[in-house]
Amino acid sequence: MTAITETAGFWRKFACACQGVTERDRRNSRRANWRLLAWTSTFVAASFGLRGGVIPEGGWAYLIIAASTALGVWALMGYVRFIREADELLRKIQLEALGVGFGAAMLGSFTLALVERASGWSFDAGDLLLVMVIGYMAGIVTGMRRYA
Amino acid sequence: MRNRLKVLRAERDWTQARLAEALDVSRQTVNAIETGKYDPGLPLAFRIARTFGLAIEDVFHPDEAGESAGDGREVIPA
Repeated sequence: MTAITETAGFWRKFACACQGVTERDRRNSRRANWRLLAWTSTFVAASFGLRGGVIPEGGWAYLIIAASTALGVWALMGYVRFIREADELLRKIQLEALGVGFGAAMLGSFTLALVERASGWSFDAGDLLLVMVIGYMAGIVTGMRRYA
Repeated sequence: MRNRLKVLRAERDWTQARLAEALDVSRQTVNAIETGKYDPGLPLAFRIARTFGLAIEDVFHPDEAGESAGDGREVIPA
């Protein structure tokens, strides 16, 4: 019962912290998220298109890869702008979360290499990306909780 | 670092949200500064002092126990 109350309290504080965000941060965050969604959509479409043979190899494939990468750079620029213009506490939370994500990916790469040798399982870049995203999300939640 | 933000805000009967709006920061930032969980950077510290019409040292002062430069060096009193 106590755990439920504590969990509810944490999420209430988390929600309140998110509501207190400035209009500028909300706008920049929305912009970065839309760009990220656009890039993710083209990446997924390109990935399935190339794998399923819908997109023929050669010129078209490279053009689509270039377009997807350009959208990725655009999304990255949106995120950098969001960080630069963010409220200083939000920036601190974001930078700490990026640090945790990067550290988790570094640690994960070494650990997964050892697990690969020990077990024969194989991991790829997607697994590391997942570790990085989980680390980043954990960093955001921890930061929000620490400063809430 | 200690601060008198909560007292100064209470004296003026301002809410955290109102102060946050005046400072162009989030309410969470004001709350974190008030509770001592976060020390603001210099530009924001000056903005806070100016909002209350005070000097920066009237709002912020170092911890009694930790009167150091923050990196272990002792602060030589003026």
